[in-house]
Amino acid sequence: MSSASLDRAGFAPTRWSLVLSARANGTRADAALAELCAIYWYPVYGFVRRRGHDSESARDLTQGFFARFLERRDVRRADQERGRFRAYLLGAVKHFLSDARKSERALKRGAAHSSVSLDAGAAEKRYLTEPAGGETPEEAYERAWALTLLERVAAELRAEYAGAGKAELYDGLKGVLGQGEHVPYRELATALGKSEGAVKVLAHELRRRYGERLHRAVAETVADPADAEDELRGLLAALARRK
Amino acid sequence: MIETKCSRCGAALPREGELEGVCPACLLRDALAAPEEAGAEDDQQRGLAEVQALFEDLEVLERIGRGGMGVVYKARQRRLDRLVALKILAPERTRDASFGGRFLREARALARLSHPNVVTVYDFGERGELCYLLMEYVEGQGLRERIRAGELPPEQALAIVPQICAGLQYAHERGVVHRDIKPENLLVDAEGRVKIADFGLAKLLEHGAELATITRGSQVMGTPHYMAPEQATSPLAVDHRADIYSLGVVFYELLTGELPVGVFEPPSRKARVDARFDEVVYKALEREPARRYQAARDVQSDVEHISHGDAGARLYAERAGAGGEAPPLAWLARIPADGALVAAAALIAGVVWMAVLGLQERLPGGPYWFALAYPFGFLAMRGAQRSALPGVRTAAVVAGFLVCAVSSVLTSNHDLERGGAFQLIAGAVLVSSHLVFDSSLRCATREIAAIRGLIAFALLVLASACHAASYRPGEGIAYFFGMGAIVTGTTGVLSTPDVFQPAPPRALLRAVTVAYAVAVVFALAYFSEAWRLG
Repeated sequence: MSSASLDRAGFAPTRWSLVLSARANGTRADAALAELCAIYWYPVYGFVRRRGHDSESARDLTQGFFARFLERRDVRRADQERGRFRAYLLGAVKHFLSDARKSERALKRGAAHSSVSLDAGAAEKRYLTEPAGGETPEEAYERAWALTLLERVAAELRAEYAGAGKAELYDGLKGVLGQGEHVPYRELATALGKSEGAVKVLAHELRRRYGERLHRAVAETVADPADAEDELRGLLAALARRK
Repeated sequence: MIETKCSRCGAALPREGELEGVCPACLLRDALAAPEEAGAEDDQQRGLAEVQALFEDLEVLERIGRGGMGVVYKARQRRLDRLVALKILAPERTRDASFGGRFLREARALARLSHPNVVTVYDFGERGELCYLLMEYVEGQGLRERIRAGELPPEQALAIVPQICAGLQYAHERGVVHRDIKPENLLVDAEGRVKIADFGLAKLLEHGAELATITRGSQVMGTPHYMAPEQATSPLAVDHRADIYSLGVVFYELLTGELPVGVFEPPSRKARVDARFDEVVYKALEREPARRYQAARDVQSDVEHISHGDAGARLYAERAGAGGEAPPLAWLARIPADGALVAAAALIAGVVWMAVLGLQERLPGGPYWFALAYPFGFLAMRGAQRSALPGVRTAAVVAGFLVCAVSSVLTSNHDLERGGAFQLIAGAVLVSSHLVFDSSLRCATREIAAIRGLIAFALLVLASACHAASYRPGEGIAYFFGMGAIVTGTTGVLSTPDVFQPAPPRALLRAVTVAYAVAVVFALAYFSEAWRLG
């Protein structure tokens, strides 16, 4: 059985499982890890900020953390959280912060080389617009993670539509995401200049594609694809926590 | 107009970015509710053909799911013409040494299990680069699909849980722990029978030492929301009680549709079920293993008793017919009568006993014979508790109480004139001690049970003191030991599981049964001595 066909049979490794896999090619694993960090760096920044650091030192710490994190290729085997990238990353950040507290030098060294580009300005701006109270830094991290994931999938989906020349359609329809049965089909039909029936079909298609992409995206962050569902549930709990 | 709050859940809507105007929580909730798209149809077909090529003795029909360790196909064994489930493990993983070892252990552990509530393993091995398991095919849905479809009224949940318990108990007795009990691993066939699948993380308790060297560090297995706390903090110390925790989570989810996360509402407040199930769920979800149910069969018996109330007798008889072991006094449970009848019979017997004794001129050995009316009084009270008839219940309890009180008085003083008041007090206090002790056996929390036990003990001491006040201190001590043993022993024996419910802790039951035996021996010795002298 060729490995390509095995992939199709459902065994394609996820990014995180690649990173963890002992047998994976080193470059592939590095690339996978870098991709994951590029997507999910904001929750780390948010966490560092909430731990009490001001925006400048949070920026330095976050960059320093990722520099160290990406250099180190040995994912610690003894780690309990390796099944989920989200949890693993948080653990690593906490370790880093406690190390950094002990030695200022670690901080300075890291700030120079970073292979994850952070838009610190945007990060700070976003951080300031988040609601302030009541959450622990860990809870805020999870919430930010969930939002990052959802936004990322939305961005990818938009790019997919734009690639087919349907960017306007996406922008017009994206409100249906999360509306359940409360979709105002008539208004949408008028706004988009289409029939109500057509809008229903398009809306359904949009939601289906979003769901597909979302499942795939979250599966990328877990070692065992069967955990994806559970991870999603956990993220929902994080989002629904405060009303 | 720009909406600022989600019309479905009331959360604040993001005002900029990719998700402007979209509620993230609802978005995620919707995506979770929709079943995952399995990927392009023809991709699946091609994978299937390749599997078929490797397994010529099977007719591979369709892919039915992705399990914890690999992909599952529905197939037919050509020669036997029976349907089977073929589980194939991801080849990438089988090259990993520890995984291969775990697979072998899973297969062997499962192959030993043969039970209606456990998915049977027919065969396992290696073909090409793939490791596979051949299992019983279960026609029907996993519990997860049923929960999603919202097809689970509480009665069904209550029919499901005991079956899971039966399967777990069977496996636990053979040293197999599942470690990943969750709705995805619980299959329900067309007849409503539940089968536990995917013992993929089975740990053989008797090979604990071997496991310590093979397990990679403290790698956690299992699904977090269903995992017992000790699975995360000290995985090597995990035993069968982790499955009981997971069972508790599943039970809660079946009843309420939600996971017991953080501070959660009791199930009786979210679903229309008996409030006594709350205690069952809480006890299964205790964070410390020692405070949980210690055996799946205990969960099962509690659930069944609460579900079936007075039909517990019928239920027991069915189960005993199916090969269950018979606890002492099992025949009592088969009396097809309302508790009122039992109470009445016991009361009559007790009164007759005391009357007969009372008519005797002289009682060899003294008045302690009256004490043997005590058990009739208790039986009357317990029988009354199980009765469905309202007025009868109170009346029988009161009458039973009186039998015990009178018997106590008569025991301590055949001749009512001597120190009469003290005797009456001693009798009443003694019976109160019994009632408090009895209620302590039913407590869900250990602290309350301990407090009540102490109160019962204090009452016993008080009764003995009263008795001693009208006789000699030596009599008081004899009273303390004798009556104490009779009270606790009778309560314990009448509290054997499956006869009366809920079941008190086993060790305690054994202790009180021994105490009762001691009391009977003591009484016989005393009587025979007195007989010889008298």
